[in-house]
Amino acid sequence: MTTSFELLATTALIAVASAVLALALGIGFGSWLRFLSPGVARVVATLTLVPFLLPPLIVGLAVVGVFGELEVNSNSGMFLVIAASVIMNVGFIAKVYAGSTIDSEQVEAARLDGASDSTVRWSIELPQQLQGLVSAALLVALYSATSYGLVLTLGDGQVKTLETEIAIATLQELDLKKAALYALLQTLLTLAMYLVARRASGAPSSLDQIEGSLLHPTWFEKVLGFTLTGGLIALLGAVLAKAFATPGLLANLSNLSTRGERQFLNITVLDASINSVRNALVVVFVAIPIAYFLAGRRNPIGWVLLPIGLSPVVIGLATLAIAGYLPRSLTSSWVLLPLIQVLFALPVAYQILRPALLSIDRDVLEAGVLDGAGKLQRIAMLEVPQIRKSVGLAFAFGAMVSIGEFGAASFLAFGANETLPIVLFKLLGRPGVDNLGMAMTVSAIYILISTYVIWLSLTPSRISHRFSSTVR
Amino acid sequence: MKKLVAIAIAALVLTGCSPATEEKIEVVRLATHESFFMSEEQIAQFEESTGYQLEVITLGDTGSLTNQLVLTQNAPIADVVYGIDNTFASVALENNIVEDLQQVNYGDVCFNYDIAWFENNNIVPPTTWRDLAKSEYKDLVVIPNPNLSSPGMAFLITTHAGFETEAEVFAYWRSLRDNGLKTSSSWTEAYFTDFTRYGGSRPIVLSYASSPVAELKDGKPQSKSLNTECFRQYEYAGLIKGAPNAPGGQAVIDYLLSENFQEALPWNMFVYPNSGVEIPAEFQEFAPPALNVIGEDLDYAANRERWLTDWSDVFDN
Repeated sequence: MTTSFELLATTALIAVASAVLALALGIGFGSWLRFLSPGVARVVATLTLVPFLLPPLIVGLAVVGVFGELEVNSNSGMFLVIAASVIMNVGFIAKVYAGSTIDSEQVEAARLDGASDSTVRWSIELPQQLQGLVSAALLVALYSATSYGLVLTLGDGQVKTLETEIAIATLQELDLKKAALYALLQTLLTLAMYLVARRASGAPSSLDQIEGSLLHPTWFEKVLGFTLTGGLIALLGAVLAKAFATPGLLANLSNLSTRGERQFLNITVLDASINSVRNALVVVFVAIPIAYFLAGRRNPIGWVLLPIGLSPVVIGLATLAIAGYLPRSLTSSWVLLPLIQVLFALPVAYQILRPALLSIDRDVLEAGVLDGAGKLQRIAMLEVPQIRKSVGLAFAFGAMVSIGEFGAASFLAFGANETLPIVLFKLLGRPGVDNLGMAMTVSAIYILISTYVIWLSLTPSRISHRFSSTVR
Repeated sequence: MKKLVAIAIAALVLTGCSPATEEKIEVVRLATHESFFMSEEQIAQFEESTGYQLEVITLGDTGSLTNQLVLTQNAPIADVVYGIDNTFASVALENNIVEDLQQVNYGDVCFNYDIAWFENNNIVPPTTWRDLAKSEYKDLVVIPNPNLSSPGMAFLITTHAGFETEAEVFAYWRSLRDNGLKTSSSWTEAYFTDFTRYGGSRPIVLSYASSPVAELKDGKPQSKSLNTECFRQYEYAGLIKGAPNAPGGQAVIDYLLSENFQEALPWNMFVYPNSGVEIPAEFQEFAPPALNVIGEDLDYAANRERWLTDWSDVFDN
């Protein structure tokens, strides 16, 4: 029997190992990234951030595609999970590193004093970046401790974490007491990581601008940069290639309107996508106005970000547990899941909207109010047009969070209400060329949409530029 | 700002309510396991004769099906369930999720082997499950997880019925474990992924006495069932307690027991229909019911949890 302590230790080990490795590789990678010309840097950064935004399930699928033949036992499974977590998060760390470069004057002054680039980096720059990096690494640890989809796809039942055992205790053993104990341990672990991350830095890092640097990357960092970029292209490219080739793109696309080989799915993939889009719309139209309202307050509101520290699996379980006390019309409706997903979209939207709202020119707003603009008018006519891009991004990221959410959905979406990740997971668990082709095609579509959203988010923009300069 | 939030909530409430109001045809929801099959014609026939629209919700294996219904009993996700069997009936009844269970079909859980694989590898196939711990069958056997799968649970019961003492049962399990027994998450995975006939690496799979008829090629059998000391599994249908559409659920149960459904059952799901309906000729020739069955007299309701814990102790060490 696996004890709860062993589960806690495994979960923590995966989290810490992923964070340390992502940090080590991310710093090297970031140092190469910021030395690239802005155009190239944007392309590379987009590419490396795609796995960060993808549902863990799909990253798992991509990694399985590469290491498919590996016989999975608890050790090799753990290795795969950690490797995949690093792949997911290395771009994020690199971005944080490249986004907190010291300015050129400091570098030039140090160089005049005879300091080498490595001295500047390690003695002057790193101490200034340390807080942000530690905070980012803790977030990576947190994400890795809640990557249920990754452990399911790569662990093959051999890797046991608190999340997988919560699911087993609930769905297989009907042992809600045991599930509750694991859920408590999981929550203590992730909340602790989250709170320490918050202490380390004022606000968790968001995806911000890359800043160019005069500091040369080392030879090793260049190799690392090329290797990681090449590896990611190969990894994502393999998924796209399979969508085209197994058995063929047209066949795959037309199969999306079927229920899989031998009709084993409850609904077609297309219907599942419609469900997911419908849920995402509910999520953004609830989460964005709330996030907008909270982000516009003078003082930052810490509790909005708290759900980052919660495992979707735990939330799913908790919802199931309290379902008996909620109105039947809500619990038996598809609306329940998107309402729960609002929790996960809220922090994302808040983090995008807060800096944007802070950057708004107060004079214009005050002039508007003097001219008699009402609150709603002020928002619609004066605020939103100024931060159009950020509002758009909040919608896009909020929708992506909902569309990719797997942990809570696995407890709450049944039959005709199943969502895309649920159907995708079922497709992956079933043999058959057609099923694999469908799974790959769905993943390819996810990858393309994520790439586009990230590409847009990295557009050079007035607001985030001004924001980063005010922060510094 | 408050107005905006109010608008959002209003929009949500509107969207949330719409599906309920636009349902003119009454939907009846049938929860079942993933091996369930009903042809388009049968669905159309049911819908025409009853006026209900049938929504089939598959919830994994028998165990997942039963457990999901228990977990969602405060907000039932279906009106009627089909596929809970005698190994899981106690879970359903103890947790009070069904009104009553009615027998719809039966099947005999026996090991099957891939005839061609044994011929090609010059190995003599086993004749009973008691052979499976022998060294010549090392790494050749796959069974579905007894925690979740009813055939898996049936095999646990078989071994308890097949030995005099628990010590012998444990010794047999340990010898299976040491002989490389593979446990898959579900019957579907064991059969359609791990079985050599579907590209897997295990030529012996725990399945049903009726399965070989699904594997006929040019009228010749490709797999064979070890037809002694099997476990007879009965599958039931029942109304889910607190279900919104109980009359619809009853209409489904009536249809499952009708001649039309019963006669198509063997070819649709490769199980045997209730007594009184004739078993098709191919089944009688290539996949007849087991010669003898054991374990029906054991009190598995009282013992299942302990047996599963014992099983985990042996296999999850």
